Amino acid sequence: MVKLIFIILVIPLNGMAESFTQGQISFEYRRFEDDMTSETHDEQISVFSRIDTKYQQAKNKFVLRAYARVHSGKSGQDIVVAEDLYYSTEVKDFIELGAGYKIYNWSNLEVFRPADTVNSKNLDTDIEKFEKIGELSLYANMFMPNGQLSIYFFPKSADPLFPTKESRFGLNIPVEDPIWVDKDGHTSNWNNSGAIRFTQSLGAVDFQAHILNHYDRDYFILGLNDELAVVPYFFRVNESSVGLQHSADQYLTKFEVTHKNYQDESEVLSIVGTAVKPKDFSVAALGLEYDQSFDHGSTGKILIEYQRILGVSLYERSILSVFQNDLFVNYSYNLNDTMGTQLSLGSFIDLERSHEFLHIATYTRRLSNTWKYNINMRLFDAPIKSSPDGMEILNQSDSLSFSLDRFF
Amino acid sequence: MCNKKILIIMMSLFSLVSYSKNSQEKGLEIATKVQDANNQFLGEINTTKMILIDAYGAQTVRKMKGKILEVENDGDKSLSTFLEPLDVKGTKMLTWSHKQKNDDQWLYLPSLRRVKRISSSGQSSSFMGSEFSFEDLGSQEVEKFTYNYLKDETLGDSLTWVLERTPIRKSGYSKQIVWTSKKMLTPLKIEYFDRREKLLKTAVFSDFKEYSIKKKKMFRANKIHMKNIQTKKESIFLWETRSLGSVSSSREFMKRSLK
Repeated sequence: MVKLIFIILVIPLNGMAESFTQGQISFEYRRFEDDMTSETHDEQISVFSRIDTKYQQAKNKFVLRAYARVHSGKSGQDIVVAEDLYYSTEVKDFIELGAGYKIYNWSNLEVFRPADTVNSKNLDTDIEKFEKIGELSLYANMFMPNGQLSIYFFPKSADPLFPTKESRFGLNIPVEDPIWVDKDGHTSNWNNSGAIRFTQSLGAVDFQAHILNHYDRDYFILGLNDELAVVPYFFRVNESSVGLQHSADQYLTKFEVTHKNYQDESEVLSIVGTAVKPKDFSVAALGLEYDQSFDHGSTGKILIEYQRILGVSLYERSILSVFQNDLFVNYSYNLNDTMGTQLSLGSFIDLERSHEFLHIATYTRRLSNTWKYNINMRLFDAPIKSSPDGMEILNQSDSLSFSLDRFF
Repeated sequence: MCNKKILIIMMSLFSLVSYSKNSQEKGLEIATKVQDANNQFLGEINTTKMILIDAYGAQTVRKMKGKILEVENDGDKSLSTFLEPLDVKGTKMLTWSHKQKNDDQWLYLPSLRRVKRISSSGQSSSFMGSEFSFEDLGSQEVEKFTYNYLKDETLGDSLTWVLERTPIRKSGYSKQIVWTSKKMLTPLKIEYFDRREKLLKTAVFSDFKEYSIKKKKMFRANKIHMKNIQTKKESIFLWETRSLGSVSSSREFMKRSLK
């Protein structure tokens, strides 16, 4: 399907002089702390490429955006992902109709994003910023003054990409094809999912709300199938979400809450052999951004975000997410010089489980108009207390990475 | 004798207050006249280039394209798309400037496919690493400043009014001194003073072109040369193409148009 839409879109785009195209090719190197396991790869060398092209003529728009990552000597981890691959057209100036694969950004927060659940993710990347996979969609947007009402139909749920056995981002367990669970007994990711979303800006306040029925691929159970192979179980869920954002002088405050109501709460065999079933819960997040301006034009930004899972026990929370009751504090300094020099220092702090931290430092700088480099260091400070839980699973996953990006 | 002294002092004070009031009134009058002369341009479509020159003379180029929509009884709406450097290509900034309250601003980040609201407090920060700040390039509504007429002066061949304007809201500047052409009713030079009231930058406007919008004539500078006195860096803002009077649809200045 992806290939078919790709061909339909790319062939006409080649001859269109008005198309806007950009992209990048990056050389990525990452070195992990030695986990004393020969099965995993502590050194990761890859080439990442992304193409982003758009053609717009009057009220018609074609968009193609995709990325690929090829790993040195690890073909099992190579990926090609279509993020956006769609056509849209405007009808009567206030209605837009569209079809194709799309990335959705339904959250205003930076790190904890409870409302941002439509797309499947590439889980073979950093835990706090999984890359998204385009979701096949048919949609209608109705535009209002400073607002929008949207209706979505998702005929197929995309599979998330799980880390391979060799990857340092995972549990070193091979994961088989997922099992899709709903009350009607569907076993396929071709299904009838949908959503209604409303957004409205009133001066300095942005409001958003949605209801969504789909297979939950953010919170799933890693269990065993009939052959006792490890599989993810994705359960059909009704989600309702509201969010607010307010801008005042240097401050940007954000609030978001999403409630999940699972349609089928069947028990499945978990990875540790116990019977488990999904349970309804809510995820709430708060965010604060504070901007600073210094003499000579440089700027700083303080970002504080907090997320908590509500409506389930402490143990159930710990199974649902690594970030079940966590604070993220980050300071980024932008020199605003010709080379775009930026330094960012951040920490995840688990407020519920003792001694669980993830510290991240990032430095980026342009080399020229087309080249840029990025140095990133990640330190997990979460020693295992009893059985590995939360960030403890990644305790020996410290890494240092370097990427060199060429933009076109 | 004592009463006479008091009378003289009071008269001096009165004349000072009166002068100050007159200079403020005259300053506001000139600023309003300049704004009226430059209003009703309807809109603008442009492509621009910025040349950044460091203290050693090395040059870097930035490229953008932009649209402006004039809004009656409020600040203008503008949409800028960054074209170079290539790592920010496709980044768009939408600004709804306001006369009486803080501007609303959104940024579209193509790498994240995301529209993000940004606080308008960063007005004093550098625009794309240049010597221009966001507030230098934003719309300059009369309501954003208080004015003080200083003197008449000849600058080059042009007769000018020299005004001091002080930002009402939070700004990177304590004050600005503006030389405004009496003939073209547009600034020829601006001196920017930092928060410690020291001269920070000087902008010189040139390459003026006359535009006629619905029989109303107005002038626009197609080159601004900004020199930072403290760091010795310079930036030159050039309009490569400029179509004044081009009316874009108001839909193009909505958040949804950023994607």
